[in-house]
Amino acid sequence: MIEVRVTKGFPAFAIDVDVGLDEDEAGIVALFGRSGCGKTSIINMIAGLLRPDTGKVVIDGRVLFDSDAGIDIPPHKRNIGYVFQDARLFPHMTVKSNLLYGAGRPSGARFALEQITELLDIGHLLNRRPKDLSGGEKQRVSIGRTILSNPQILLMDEPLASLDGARKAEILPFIQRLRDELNLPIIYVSHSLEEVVRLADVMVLVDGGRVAASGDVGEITSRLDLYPLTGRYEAGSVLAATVKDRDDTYGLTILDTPGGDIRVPQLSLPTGKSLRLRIRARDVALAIQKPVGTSFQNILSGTVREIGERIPTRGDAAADAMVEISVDIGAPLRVRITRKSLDELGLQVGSPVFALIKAVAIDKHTLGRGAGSEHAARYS
Amino acid sequence: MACRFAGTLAAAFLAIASFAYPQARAEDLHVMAAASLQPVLTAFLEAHGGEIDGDRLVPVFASSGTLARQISQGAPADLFLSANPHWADWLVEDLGLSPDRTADLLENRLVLVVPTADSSPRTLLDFAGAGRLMLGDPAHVPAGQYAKQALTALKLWDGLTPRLVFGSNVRTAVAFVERGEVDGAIVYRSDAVGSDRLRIAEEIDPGLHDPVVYRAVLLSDRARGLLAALQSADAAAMFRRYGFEPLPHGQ
Amino acid sequence: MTDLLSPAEWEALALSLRVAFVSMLGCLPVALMFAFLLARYRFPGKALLDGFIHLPLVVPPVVIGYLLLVLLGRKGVLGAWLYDTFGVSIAFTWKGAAVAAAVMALPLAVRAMRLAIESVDRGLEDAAKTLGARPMKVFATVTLPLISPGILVGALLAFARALGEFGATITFVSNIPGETQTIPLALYAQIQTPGGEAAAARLAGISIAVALVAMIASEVMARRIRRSIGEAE
Repeated sequence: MIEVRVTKGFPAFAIDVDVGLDEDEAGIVALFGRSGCGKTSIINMIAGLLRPDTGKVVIDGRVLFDSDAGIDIPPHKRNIGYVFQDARLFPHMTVKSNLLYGAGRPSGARFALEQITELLDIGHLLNRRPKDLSGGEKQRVSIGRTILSNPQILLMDEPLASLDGARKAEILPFIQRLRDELNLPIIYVSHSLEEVVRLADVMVLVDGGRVAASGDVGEITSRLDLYPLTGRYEAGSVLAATVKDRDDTYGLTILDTPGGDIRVPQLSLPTGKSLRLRIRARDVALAIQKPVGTSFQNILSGTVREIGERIPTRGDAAADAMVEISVDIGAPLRVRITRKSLDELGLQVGSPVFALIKAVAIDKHTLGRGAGSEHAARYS
Repeated sequence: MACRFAGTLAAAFLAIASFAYPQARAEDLHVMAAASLQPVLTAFLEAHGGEIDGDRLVPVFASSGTLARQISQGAPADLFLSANPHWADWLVEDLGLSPDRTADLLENRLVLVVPTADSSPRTLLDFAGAGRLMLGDPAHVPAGQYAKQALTALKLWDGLTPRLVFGSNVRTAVAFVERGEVDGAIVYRSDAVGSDRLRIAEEIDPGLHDPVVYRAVLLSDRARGLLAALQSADAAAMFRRYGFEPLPHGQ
Repeated sequence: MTDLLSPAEWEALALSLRVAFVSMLGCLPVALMFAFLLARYRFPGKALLDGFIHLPLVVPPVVIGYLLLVLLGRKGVLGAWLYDTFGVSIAFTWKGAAVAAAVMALPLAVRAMRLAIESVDRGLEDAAKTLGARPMKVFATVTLPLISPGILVGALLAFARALGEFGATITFVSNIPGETQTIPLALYAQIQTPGGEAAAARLAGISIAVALVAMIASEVMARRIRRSIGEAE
């Protein structure tokens, strides 16, 4: 149970958040928002590196900060692990010394050095100095060091931000392994929706120092009203799915989703494996009648739930040609069509529609893992 | 890595060695003597093997005024040999000693010296017009005080002032003349006797200044033996050789 | 080998080294404390403190010697009390020479250390805190190693400055052979002594040689340390 209720004034804006999260299962909570919206300051306040003006921070029943009661536990006693954006390895120590720096914490060693070096594949780096490591290696060592200090909870501040695409791809799987194998609650700060979708189950959307929304990742990313904050480019929906069957004749995998069956090119995953799908809004077409004789393999029926504002095309004078619609197919599905089509089809809230998803539009690279929305969230 | 270790080792060795070098010991006898006594006292010490009655002799030479102030400030001293009675009496009064702890030891004379290389006849009057003349600083050097008295009596002081060089003790003046850095200096006859790089150009009339009397102050009883040795016949002979006039015991 | 220098010159060298070492050791902790204070804290009167610390750099050394005399001389404000209470007086002793040298070297050491402290990445200290390190541990395991080149430079600057100290020394503890006559003072005396030219030249040579060795050693060691803490050279 994480309760963060803090305020802090800065020259540019003020932070005023009130979030409570149940961490019954270890998982990743993402703190998402644009650069400069206050995400890093918030976790700095959780870690004790920044003093809030007023408020309360409670983790698992331990009060770390309470301005009314005059409690402010110093960072070294908070038992919180923090992976920084810039790794911050101690340059005058070897990798091994870095890793073991916090290992003497009184709370007892929960993880062994070998276990973590194996998990993060850094065993061969133990005797090197930080200056001889690549960016990706530094970040993995930093993660290892933080875990070995046996924290109650892990904070990660945009750990992939200073890495290039290849390094990011290299480390993402490690973070996923952390989530899966270590049973450690993680708060993950990022301004990249792609990372959030891939790693987190719950997200807290931060805007201008305030919490705009919090809840299941899938739900938040598909909400139209949050669209300006979740970003235009990545507009789409997240769908939870389970592997149902294989079609060996045509090399397809059949996935079971809340909206029905979806076929994708063959994935080498066993039956029953749960995963996440991203469906970009632009890759979905709508029909008011179930079409025949098309190449669309994935046709799901649903109802129009929301019709969004007109979306101005960036910098284009022939603007607001497009409009976004949220369709309920058993789960929210974001669709983008032309305004002309909207009028021609006569779509309104409640209209029954068919969503046509191009099979090949389901992008394997954004296939994320996740168990689904078992995380309750409170929003205020 | 080995280099760093070696460096630290060397530093440690130097530090320890610097302490191992013989330091001052409590049984040392400190003799604070006027600078003009340096040559003769150094010879005296050598003749006695650097010891008197088993105590090691540690001499410190400077101008009498400087020494008197230092002793007043607490500098360790067992015997003070001043080149004039003035500073000796000043110290006696400052420390509240009884006057019977003083003894007049020697007399000396003032001379004008010039570098040996300068062979032309020179007098004080010559310097009235040109040339750099060096004295001990009249503020604290007895030789300078005597010289100022003489120059003032000769009515030469005011005219000379811009071209006078003051040294911190009389031996400095000797050194500068020897090196030719000044054209002449007023020093003691004892200074001229000991050097072949300068020559006496003129003997200064003793009537123009106070008598040059070296007065000793006994600051600790441990120096009684030393004082007696300085007043012995052997010592008197040595003093004469170096250009001083020993005074009869008891004056 | 021992004929290279006269006994008096060996004495001056040994005394110089002793005074320089002791003054450096005494100066270091004080300088470190001031450097931290000035680098990390804000408080009323900070500029004044900074000014006082730098006084020996800009004021004539003789003035500092005079102030030391007034303060710590046998009849000085503090010195008289020390003598009456403990029977201790540092005037006219090598300890006094060490104090004079330490005072003169202090601003140099403070400047070098302050620079090093200010360039420490506070983010590393934050990281250490989040890893459970108490403030003392952070200082000992992170801050101190990272500022060690600065400390070394400060120490060697102090040492070299102490070796060359003259004005404050001769004013405070005078020129007493074997006790306070360090190399610069011995050189000064030799210049004023008839026939002392050769000795003066030898002493000057020693002075330059020792100072050069100290400076080169400091640079070499600082470079090594910087390398070992992972900085660019």
